[in-house]
Order: sequence, then C-alpha cells, then structure tokens
Amino acid sequence: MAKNTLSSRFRKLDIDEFDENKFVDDHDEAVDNQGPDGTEIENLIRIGDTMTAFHLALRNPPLNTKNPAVKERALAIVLRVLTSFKSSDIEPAVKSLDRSGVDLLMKYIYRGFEKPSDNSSAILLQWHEKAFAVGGLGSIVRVLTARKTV
Amino acid sequence: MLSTDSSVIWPSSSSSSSSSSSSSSSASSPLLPPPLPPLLLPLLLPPPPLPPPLLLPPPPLLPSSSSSSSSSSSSSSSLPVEIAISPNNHEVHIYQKSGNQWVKSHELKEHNGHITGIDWAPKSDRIVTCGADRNAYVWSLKDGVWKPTLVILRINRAATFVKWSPLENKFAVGSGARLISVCYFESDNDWWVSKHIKKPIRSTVLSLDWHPNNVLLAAGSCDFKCRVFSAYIKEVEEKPGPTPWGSKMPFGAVLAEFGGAGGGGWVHSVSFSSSGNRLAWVSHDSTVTVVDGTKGSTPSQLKTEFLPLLSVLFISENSVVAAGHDCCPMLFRCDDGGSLTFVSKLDLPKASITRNISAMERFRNMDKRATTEDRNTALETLHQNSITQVSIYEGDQSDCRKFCTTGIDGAMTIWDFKSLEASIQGLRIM
Repeated sequence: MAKNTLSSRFRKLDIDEFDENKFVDDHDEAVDNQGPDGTEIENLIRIGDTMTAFHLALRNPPLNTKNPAVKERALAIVLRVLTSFKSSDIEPAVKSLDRSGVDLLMKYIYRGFEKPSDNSSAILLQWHEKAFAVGGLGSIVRVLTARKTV
Repeated sequence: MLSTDSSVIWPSSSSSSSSSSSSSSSASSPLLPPPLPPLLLPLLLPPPPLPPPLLLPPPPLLPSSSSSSSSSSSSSSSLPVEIAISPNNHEVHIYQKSGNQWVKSHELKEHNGHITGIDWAPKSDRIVTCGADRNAYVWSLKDGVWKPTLVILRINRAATFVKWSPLENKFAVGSGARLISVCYFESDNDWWVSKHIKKPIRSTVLSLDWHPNNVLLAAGSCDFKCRVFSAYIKEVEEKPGPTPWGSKMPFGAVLAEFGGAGGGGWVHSVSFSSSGNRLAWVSHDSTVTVVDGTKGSTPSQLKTEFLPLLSVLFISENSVVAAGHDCCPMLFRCDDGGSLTFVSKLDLPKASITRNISAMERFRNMDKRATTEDRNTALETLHQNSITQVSIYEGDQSDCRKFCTTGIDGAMTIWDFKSLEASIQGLRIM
C-alpha cells in the first residue's frame, strides 16, 4: 500500500482554522455580564415572589463572555426560575417584558430545550407558547441568527 | 380586494415544458415564461425618465433577483412598457406590453452562468447584467438588436447585484468576492474600467443602492453590516459637495458603518430615501433599521415579529415598504425623530369563504387523509411564495403611487396606494 495511507493524523487537523479569510466576529469589549445572582433569586423563589425572581434572572445576561461556565450557571438559574412558575402565572410574566426581554427569554427557552430534564420540557413548552404569542416568528429567527448567545 | 386594482401576472400554466429559449413566436406565450422551480424573475424598474410625462406609461417592474425595464421606443407616440427578466438561467428575456398581454421581443444570450442582476438605465436606454460567471455586460440597442459589451470586473467569485448610478455614467456590482466593482466608461480606450472597493468588507455583498448625489453607495453584505461608501470617480464627475454622511469622499472611503454588534443577520437589502438623508435596510434577523444621516448616527431598529424581510424601499421620505418571506408587503413609518414604527401589512386577506363541503367530499377526505376538513394549502396572501424584490412602478422615491412586488412564486403584483388607502382602515401614506 502507499505510504501516505498509513497515518490518518491529518484528518484531525481543522484546516478552517488556518484559512486567512476566515470570518472573525468583532470583539465586543463590552462589560462581561456575570449573569444573575443565584442566592437572591433562590430566596425570592422560596418566598413565592416568582415575578421578581423572573425579572432579576433576566438581567445581566452573559452574552459577551466566552467562558462557558458563566453561561451554564446563568442558564441553570434562569431555568430554575422558569420551572418554578405556575402555568397561570406565565402569561402575565411574559406580558411584562419588552421586545428585547422577549427575545432574551426565547434564547433561554431554546437553550433549555437543548438539555431536557424530567419536568422541564412541559413547562418550557408553555413558556414557549406564551413567548411566541408576543414575539412571533421574528423572536425565534433572532434566536437562530444571534451571534452572541446566552 | 386587490384583484381589481392590482394586476397579477401569473406564468401561463400551459407552458410546463422546460423554458428553453425557443424562438417560437412570442405572441403565442403572452404571459411570463414558464416557471422553473425555483423561478427567479429578476426585474428592476428604473424610475421613468423625466421628459414627456404624459405619453410615458410607467415601466413595469419585475423584481425577483434582477431585472429592470424601461420604455424604449424613441417615437413620440406612447412608449411601450418593457421589462427585462431572467427566468433563472443564462438569458435575459425582454417583454413588451401590448394591450393587456406581454409579448417577448428580445432574448439576450451572452452570459455563461446564471444571471444574478439586471438593471435598465431609462435615460440612456442601456441594460447592465451581471451573472454567476463573474462577468457583467452592458447592452445597447442598435438597429433593433441588443448588443453586449463585456465589462471585466476582475472578480473571482460570482456577481450578486448590479445597479446603475442616478446619472447613469457608472454602475456598481456587488459580488461574492467580498468586494464592490464600480465601473465607468473610459472614452479614450472605448472600454469599461472597474475599480474595486474592498476594505473592510468581509463577506458577500448582497445589495447596493446609490445616493442621489451619484457618489455615495450603500452596501448590505453577509458580514451583518450595512455600510456607506464613496464611489467617487474623478474621471467622470466633479467633486461632490458635503453631505450629512460626510464631506471628504475619496474613492473607497467608508463614511458610515452600521450593524454587527451582537445582532446577526445578513443585510438583504438597502435603500436610500429620495433626499439621500435616510438609509433603510432589512436584515435576516427579522429587523428593519433606518438611520437618519442628519440626526447623528444612531440607527433606529425595529425588531419585527415576522419572518425575515428580503427587500426594502423608501416610497416617500417618511414611509418604507418592505417584503420578504412572509409573502406580504408591509408598511413602516419613520417619524421626524427618526424612529421606526410598523404601520400595517398591505396584503390583507379577504374574509375566507367557508364553502360547504359536500358529504361525498367529506367521506373522501376521511378516507384519504383521515380528516373531514377542507384542506386548503394556498396561502392567504396574493403571493404564494417569498417576495424577493419591491420596486417603484409609478411615481418616484419621494412620492410613489404604485409599487410592484415579484417573488419566487413567479408572480408580479402591482399595488396601488390609492386603493390600499381606501381598503385598509386608517392607512395613510405620509
């Protein structure tokens, strides 16, 4: 056999990284939001004030950071809040958001869909339905096209 | 509601054969060429030329990806309305309107690849076409035949868009080679020369629009940005005066850059207003944005709840019409402060007639499809597939009376604002 078929190490090389025309996103040196504050939100959920917990959880989204741990933490907190809602409370919560808030909520919902747990899918689908009613297809398109993800 | 006022021209259903460029008599197929899936009907309607207003019928518009039309006859009698389209292949077909029918008058065959852009200059009566074969041709009518002149663009990827400048002494070609080719005619060598605008474009240029001063050029591209460049060519024009976008305008300078910043979305279409002070663009993240050059450079972005829009056009200084994957043209208003609001969809469906399905049909549906409902798969809008281009049909960019939309369904629809204002509650174009 020919000698060059012996080693397949070349297959592990990602040649797109070496492409000089590769598109690199602009570096946004903006403030790295660290995500919401977990303990405070836990307290609010415990006393039953899910609405305030909800608004707090959606503040400071870690959009700019490249650190996956920060994003995971923020996602976990938001999902904790979303799953602690009663079905009847979802609609007023969504209505209290503005356009960008609905877009951000949609981003979290789709991130939540990625890793379904026991009871998260059902409640997330209800959240999705209500958020879709307000944000429409445009909010979903913005989840897909966003360069900075949650 | 709109069927009486707007004429919808559908490809004739009888011609289902492949749209070969057979030279059969054009009178037999008065409608548009048979659709090829996906059918791209590029059409551009240049604004009608200024002189003899009475006898000049508005040129029809056939947008789709590229096309332009203009009236061509030089006699003083009523000029025929003409349209240049490309049925998603290497050719351009020119149709003339005679009465209520469209008759094919010319076929322009020179390109080796799919035609991606057509523009027809109404005053000088020249057509420029650009294609996937990385070439552009300028066509002139000589003795009733369109003769092409090759323009070497010096690009190594397909051309995507072409537009004549307002004075028609230059044209700009956007391409997948991440650059814009601005071409002008050098009379010494009797040859079209191209100059490149490269920096800082980092991806395919999707659309272009010229500023009324014939120098500034807006470009929307796949690197999520909308930019305003200067395309000043000292060989063909005088130095331009200062504008709200800037006063120093050497060729290739970027006067403004918008977009990026986290929001994604290819910029599908850009449009200057008739004064040139406002610039609107639509992006694939379902947003419409307008920036007013006279009021600082913060763009006003509207996040819509619709599917992404593909084409945008100013129809007055304060109003913008856009259309896209929702198959429906939409009206937006830009107020004096520069902020953008959604006004209305312009294609409101008629109340659907619920017809009584016969019992036989119900059982048949139950048997075949396990449902007893009437299955109607047609969209409620006039267009049955995405609209790819919106252009002015009658009027101009400061005061448009009718506009035209074309889409991938192969249809061209002409919309009249008078009847739209009458039929849609509270709709007023400002």
